[in-house]
Amino acid sequence: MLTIGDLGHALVISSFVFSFFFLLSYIVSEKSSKSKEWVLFGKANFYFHFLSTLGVIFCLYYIIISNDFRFYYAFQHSSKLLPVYFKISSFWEGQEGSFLLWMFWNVLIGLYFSLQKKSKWTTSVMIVLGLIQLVLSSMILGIVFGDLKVGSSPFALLKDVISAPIFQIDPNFIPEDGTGLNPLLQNYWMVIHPPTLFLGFAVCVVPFAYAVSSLRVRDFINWVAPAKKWLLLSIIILGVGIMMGAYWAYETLNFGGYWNWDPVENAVYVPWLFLVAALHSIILTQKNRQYYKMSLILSLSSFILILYSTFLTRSGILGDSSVHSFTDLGLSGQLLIFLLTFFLYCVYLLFSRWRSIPFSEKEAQMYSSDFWLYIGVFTLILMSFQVIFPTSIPVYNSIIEFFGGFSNLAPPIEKELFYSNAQIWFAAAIAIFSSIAQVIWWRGREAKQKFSLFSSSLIYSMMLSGLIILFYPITKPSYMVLILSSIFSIFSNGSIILYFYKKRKLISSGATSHLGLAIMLIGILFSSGYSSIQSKNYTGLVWNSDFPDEVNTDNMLLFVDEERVIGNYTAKYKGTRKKLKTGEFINANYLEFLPVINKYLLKKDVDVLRLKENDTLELYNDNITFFEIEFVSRKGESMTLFPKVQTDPNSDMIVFSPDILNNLFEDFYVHVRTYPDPTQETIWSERDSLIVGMEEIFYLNDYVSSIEKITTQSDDDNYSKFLAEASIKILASGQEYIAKPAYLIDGEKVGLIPDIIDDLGIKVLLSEILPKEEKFKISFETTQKNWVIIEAVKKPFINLFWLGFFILTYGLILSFKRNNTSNHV
Amino acid sequence: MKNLNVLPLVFLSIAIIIIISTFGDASTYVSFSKAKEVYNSGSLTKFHVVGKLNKDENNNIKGVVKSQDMLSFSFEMIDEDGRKENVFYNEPMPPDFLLSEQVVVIGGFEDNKFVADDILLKCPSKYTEENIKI
Repeated sequence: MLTIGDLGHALVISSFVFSFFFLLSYIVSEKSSKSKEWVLFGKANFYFHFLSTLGVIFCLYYIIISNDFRFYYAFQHSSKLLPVYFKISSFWEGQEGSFLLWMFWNVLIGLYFSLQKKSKWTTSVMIVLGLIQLVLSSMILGIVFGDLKVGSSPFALLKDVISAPIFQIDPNFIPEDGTGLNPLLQNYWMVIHPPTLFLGFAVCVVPFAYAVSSLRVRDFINWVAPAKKWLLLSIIILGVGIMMGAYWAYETLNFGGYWNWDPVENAVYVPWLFLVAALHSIILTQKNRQYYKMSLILSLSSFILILYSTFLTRSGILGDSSVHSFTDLGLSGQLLIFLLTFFLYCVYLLFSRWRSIPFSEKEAQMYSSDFWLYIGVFTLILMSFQVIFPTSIPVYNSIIEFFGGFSNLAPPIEKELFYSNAQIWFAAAIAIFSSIAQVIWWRGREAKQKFSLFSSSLIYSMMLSGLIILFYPITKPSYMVLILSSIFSIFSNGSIILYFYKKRKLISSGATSHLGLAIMLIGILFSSGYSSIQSKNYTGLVWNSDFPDEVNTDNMLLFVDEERVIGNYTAKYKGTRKKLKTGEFINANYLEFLPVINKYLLKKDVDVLRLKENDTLELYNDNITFFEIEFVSRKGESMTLFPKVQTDPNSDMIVFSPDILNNLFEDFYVHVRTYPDPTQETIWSERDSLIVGMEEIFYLNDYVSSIEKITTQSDDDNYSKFLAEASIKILASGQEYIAKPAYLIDGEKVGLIPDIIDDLGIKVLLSEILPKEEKFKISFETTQKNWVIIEAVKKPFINLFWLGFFILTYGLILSFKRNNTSNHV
Repeated sequence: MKNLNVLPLVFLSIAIIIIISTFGDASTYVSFSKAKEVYNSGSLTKFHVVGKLNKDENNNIKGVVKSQDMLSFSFEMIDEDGRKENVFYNEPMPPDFLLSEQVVVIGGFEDNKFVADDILLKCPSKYTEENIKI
């Protein structure tokens, strides 16, 4: 019988075949006398390719959403309980799905070009797109020729992939549930970050395709304007995609920041810088009818770099050094061929056309904006090189080993410092060059002595940055330079914006973007350079005489209900919390286990939603535990943060996420480093007992306790089955807990059902009922109270980083709109 | 003004500086013996060392000592040459530490003790799982 998987696989093959035919027909149309017919034929094939691709996506999505765990992809990346919006992320958790996502955006771009009027450009763009689609669809083909495996199909059956013994017993075995989605990806940013990034990748194809077409058809002039428009669009979309990832990292990952110089982050940062370099080169080309070679090379290499980054992330060459890496599917050979084909084709095109590309001997003058733009482009290239060269260290090792050599080169020890110490100088240079270029570009004709244009902004920025350096204070030379150059950039670009707005009621897009960049740089400088750890442990105790140095750690151990000073706050860990489906937090110790996933019985009345004892509650996600930590400032203001941990029952994976208090001037960022492992066995103290009456006060692990009530149940009058449950109220500072141990008689047998209050480290038993005295024997064992180890960090002015980015993007969008409607710069 | 003729030179020299500084700052994967040798020769260079946790026949991990305040810990690691060394780490123990299959420590010897600045763990992930829980 045909399954949806067979249909999907057939559609993958059809998508591959039609991409080949549409590529071929468009190529033939260029040389053929029946050009029109061939283009029509190509279009028809493209539409089939388009529909097949959509069909593949539909099939895979249907398999995921219908929990069809016969298929490896659904089993591997999804599970029954996963909410629908996270099932969307399951789609691209695997390599195959993310290739499909990329193909999806590519076919939409193809659709746009296939609907344009026929020209040599649209034909050639379709050819480039066809080649890319051919290669991408080959990645998910999943066909084996002898020993050669081409692509990895998302429609593989579980029993074909995993050789578990169960399939020998029952070949038709279907697992009850999938292994679920990586907890890192169970985040709303992961629903929109990957599609945005891949849309960015897809849009980058267009300027690349124009550059390739320019070389193919030997028209070096007319590719510039459309390429510029698409470059702007790709910079915007890729930039937004990268920043979504940065925000996701800030909010979800526990490395404490938005950027980690992770190889995969670097691999997308570098193409973005190249796109920006290409844009500036094209602006120069458009204005001067010069630098065609530079513009071509940059437009080509930005896409080649995207392929390179695809190769890095997907071939497994980076190993475990990155949080983003996909699992290796054995496609590295295919990926390498993909990369090298495009790279070598571009090199061939450039060499064979090199002499015919227009070239002018004219040189830019020092006092012209062109000169500053030109060196700005080169600064961007060097800036990228400083990142991509060290990131590629694992590649050098592989190459050396491939040729039989040996290399044990490892990435730099402190990669954050290694990269940021160098990038800061390039960033400062960019801020300065962009300001000079902007001012001379717009106002260069007004002054004979160009320097006079800068004098006032120079004086203001010297004064302002001098004050900041003196009073913040900033002591590192590189930071001083960056703050001075960024403020200079704010003043000069700001003056341009004001000048144009007064004169022509126009907002200068270039000046706005560069202003945004300068604000971003200041935000980065303060939030990273001056992020300060608040949870320093100054006890200075040498815990172990073996330890080489006295230890000052950056983390703080908090026990439940004990106060500790953290920075300007007094912190108190109040215990573990769970989140209800309706969004409220509830003390995890109030929940009584029910054998239904995500559902619990409430042990006591609570203020939250006025819930009553024995109500059934539904949790948002049982695998997530929150830690309620209260911070009280010296002024007495109190705030509560809920950092969390998510465990994955299928993979032993543990993800800690911070909670962040956003203030206007600084963020207070708290995350849990570790907590008592719930799977580890608790070591209890010797059992202690005492005899108490109703409402008589006694102490459990030093907490004031008393029996509130006793409820009894019995089957019949003989008391052959009898259950007594005590409700013991335990008061911890400010919080009331309830323990419900039970005493059970079943015929001759007596059973004691203990209750455990994890946070307080108490196990209570109702071990005897003394009816004559109207007293009860309470037994208890104690252990360590619950604890967390946290790190608290202050991140000053991080809002400038996000604000600057919005301004930068706004400027780019303005510029895109203007380029789209007219040729206004 | 022939200022543009100087530019390629400046560009090239910065690129060369980047290459040199990359290889200068790049670390290396070594064994404990090599790291010790370098330390004995008076250098405080830090390295990457790849290895495994020390386990007995029953797969129980041996030699892990947590500090009283749980903010730091030490453990025994066996490098790829089979040499056992005590590694000290001034951070709380990562929750998945004891599950790891492979450990990469980044650090070096100080006072004859190997101190890690950072630890990278390779954990058995669900991806390599060959079994299906029924």
